[in-house]
Amino acid sequence: MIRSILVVFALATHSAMALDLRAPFELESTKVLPKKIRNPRFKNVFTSITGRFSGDGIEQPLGQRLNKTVSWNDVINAQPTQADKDSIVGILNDAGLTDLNASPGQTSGVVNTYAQVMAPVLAYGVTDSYTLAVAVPIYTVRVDSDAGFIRAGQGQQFVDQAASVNVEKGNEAAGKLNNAIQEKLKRLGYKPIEDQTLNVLGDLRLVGKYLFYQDEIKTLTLKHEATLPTGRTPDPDNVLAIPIGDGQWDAGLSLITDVKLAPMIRLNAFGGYIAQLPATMTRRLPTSPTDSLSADKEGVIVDLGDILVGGTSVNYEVQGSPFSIGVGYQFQRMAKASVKDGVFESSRYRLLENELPVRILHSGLVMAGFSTVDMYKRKKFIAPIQANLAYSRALAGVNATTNSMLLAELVLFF
Amino acid sequence: MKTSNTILMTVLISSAAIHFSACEPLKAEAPKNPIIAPKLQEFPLTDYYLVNNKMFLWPVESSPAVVTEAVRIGRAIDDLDTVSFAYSKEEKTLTTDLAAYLAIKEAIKDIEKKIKTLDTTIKGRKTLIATEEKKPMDKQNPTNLAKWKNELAKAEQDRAIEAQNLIDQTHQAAITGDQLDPPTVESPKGPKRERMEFLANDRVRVEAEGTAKVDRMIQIVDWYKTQPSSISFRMTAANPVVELNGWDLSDDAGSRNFSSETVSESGFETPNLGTITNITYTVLGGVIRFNLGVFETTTKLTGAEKAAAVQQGYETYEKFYELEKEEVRLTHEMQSLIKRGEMKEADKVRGRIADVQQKSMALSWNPDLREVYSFRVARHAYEKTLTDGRLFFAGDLTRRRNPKGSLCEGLERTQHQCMRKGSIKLVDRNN
Repeated sequence: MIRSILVVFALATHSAMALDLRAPFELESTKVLPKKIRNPRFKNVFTSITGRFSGDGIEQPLGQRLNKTVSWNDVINAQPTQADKDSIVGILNDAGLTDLNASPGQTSGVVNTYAQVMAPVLAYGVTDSYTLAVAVPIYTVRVDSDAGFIRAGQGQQFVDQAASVNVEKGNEAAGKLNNAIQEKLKRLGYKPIEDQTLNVLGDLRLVGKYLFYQDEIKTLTLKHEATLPTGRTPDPDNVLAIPIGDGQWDAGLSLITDVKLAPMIRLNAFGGYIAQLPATMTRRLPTSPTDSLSADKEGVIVDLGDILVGGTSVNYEVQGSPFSIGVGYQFQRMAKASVKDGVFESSRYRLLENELPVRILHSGLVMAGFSTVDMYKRKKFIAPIQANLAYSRALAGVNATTNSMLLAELVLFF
Repeated sequence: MKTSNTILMTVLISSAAIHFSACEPLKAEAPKNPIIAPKLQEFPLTDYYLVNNKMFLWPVESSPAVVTEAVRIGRAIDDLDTVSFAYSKEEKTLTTDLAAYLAIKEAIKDIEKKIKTLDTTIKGRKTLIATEEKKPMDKQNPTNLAKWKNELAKAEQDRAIEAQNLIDQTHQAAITGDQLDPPTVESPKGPKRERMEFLANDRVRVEAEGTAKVDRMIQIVDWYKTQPSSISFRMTAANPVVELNGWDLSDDAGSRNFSSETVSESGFETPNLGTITNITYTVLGGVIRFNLGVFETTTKLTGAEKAAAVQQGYETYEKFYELEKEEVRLTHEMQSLIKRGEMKEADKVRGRIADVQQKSMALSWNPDLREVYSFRVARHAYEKTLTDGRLFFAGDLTRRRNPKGSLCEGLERTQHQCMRKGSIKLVDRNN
């Protein structure tokens, strides 16, 4: 019985990583710790992110935004002075290229992200029906990125023409077009795109669970949680910044129920609401609906959208063995953010809000657990230890990343 | 128990294995098909003495059409220059090949001149004699008449000799020419001789076309009538020296010389002497960059002070220019807000404009420094060098003027109208 109580203390019903939604990495449960039982856990989560769902729910590569057809107008507008703009037009005219909507080529980009989250969690049974836990996630994030250029005939023609006037200028023009993404970032004051590795603390989470109803068939638990903004907020100068933290306080409340369908089969369902409280964060203010890059940045008050989360799962404990397995589904919806106007014109804050749109994520999870608690109690094992492995992945969504996650967890009891 | 332990250990080891094996993201490789850049060659440090081929500037507000035309004219002048230079080279070869023939032709020219002179003499004497003989006998001067008749006879005799000479030399020229330059069916006068005739005639056309193009260029860009006559680069790793000589900036100062060596002097006896600083040389592409300062002729600054002023002026202008662009952008933003009736927002932007203006006002520029020209020239037309034999440099220059100085006053729009972008072409020789 103790084993079943101690199977899982679900710390993260939602796994929103600050500004975005992520697939969960464990199943929800109503279970709480017995009074005065301490429960240190070590969670090791691995996730690889290579894509995201677009606004119309289509899965796209993470670097999709870097894949853009460049027009001559884009090239001209990127020049710092009118004289430089005129020089470009002059060379184009000279080469007989008069359609400024035509293209010299296309930028290309690929971004792959891998994150490992090591989260030591300490849970404590305050009473037999109330358990409190604190989690301190530590992120190791690797971003591997690459940007390129795919030339069109006009791009080569332009460079050849420029080189006929001045070889070095032609060489420079080719270099700038071939590095169009990096050049644009440099012009707008961003750091260049490059591989990154981060080792940082995430947002600290406090979770309390109160078991307020229990009978032989079902149990009901109320879970409350608070997220402290201890994680690093996205660097506005880094176009591939990983949002470890969002700089906001979050407060959430969930209702969880478990229903015993058979002696070893448990059905879980839960629903919750997480309010993300407004906070100041430094953001770039877009100038156009089609381009989020901008030279202007400002400390703006952002109220990220609140999160609705719900899900269900079935857990089966293999009779007479230390194994358990489970499968679950989770739904998350984060509302559109609102941004308070600052020193720039209002429309630019609306554009920024559009950068933080409604996000929806449907995800599925399977997990397998192994526990020695029963064996320990029967003095057939040296210590009460539990190990869990879980795999989850995003199934569908809107404006959310299409990550999959793997959790390896070791749990101790004393 | 044993099985359970085995399973537990399997799970733990699997966790560790995942931990250590899956810590790398997939290698990101974006698809690429880059534009093929013209390959830059490496040109080690060396001395260059270059002749200015042409240098012109245009206002930054010029229309693209003007820039296009300037670029096209520039290239057309280049092409004409290339033709002219090729003609000169070809003429030199032909002259060597036909040296003997041309010597006779020169002699023929001399004979023709002599005959012409003699004809004039004969005509003159005949007129004098006829006039004298028309007079009554008592009025005639027999001495003069005899003298003129003698001179006429001598001239006619000389002319006959020269005429024979001309026949002989022309005959000889034909023989020599035919020997050196055998006529063909296609070229009955001899291919080399016909080619020389063509070159002489076509050079006139090329020069006329060049003059027309320069005239047009003068109309659309800022063109210095007295352009710098030469630019020399003495590039050594330890002490790069750049000199630019004979540049009349169309002011009262006349022709000016500029040198980077003057910065080490304690003072300037010649106020017109300008300063060149910030010289860099890049081996790849043979790129030479430098800033050139033009000072008021009344300046009392030392060389070192001038160099510092040029550097400060350059940096100040860049800051000023950025602030000015920001001011223009904000002004547009404010105007659109006012148009939409968003007065509160417009006030915010107005405040930001004031901040920008304040920053701009705080920038300083040495009042003795009138202009800073930034040059960037690089080796150009590598292949042409192989066929043509000359070294070519092409590049651009930017003129920055004291944004608060007298030369920038009275402009209706933004102050950076004072800025000029330009093009420069250099060559190591023109003939």
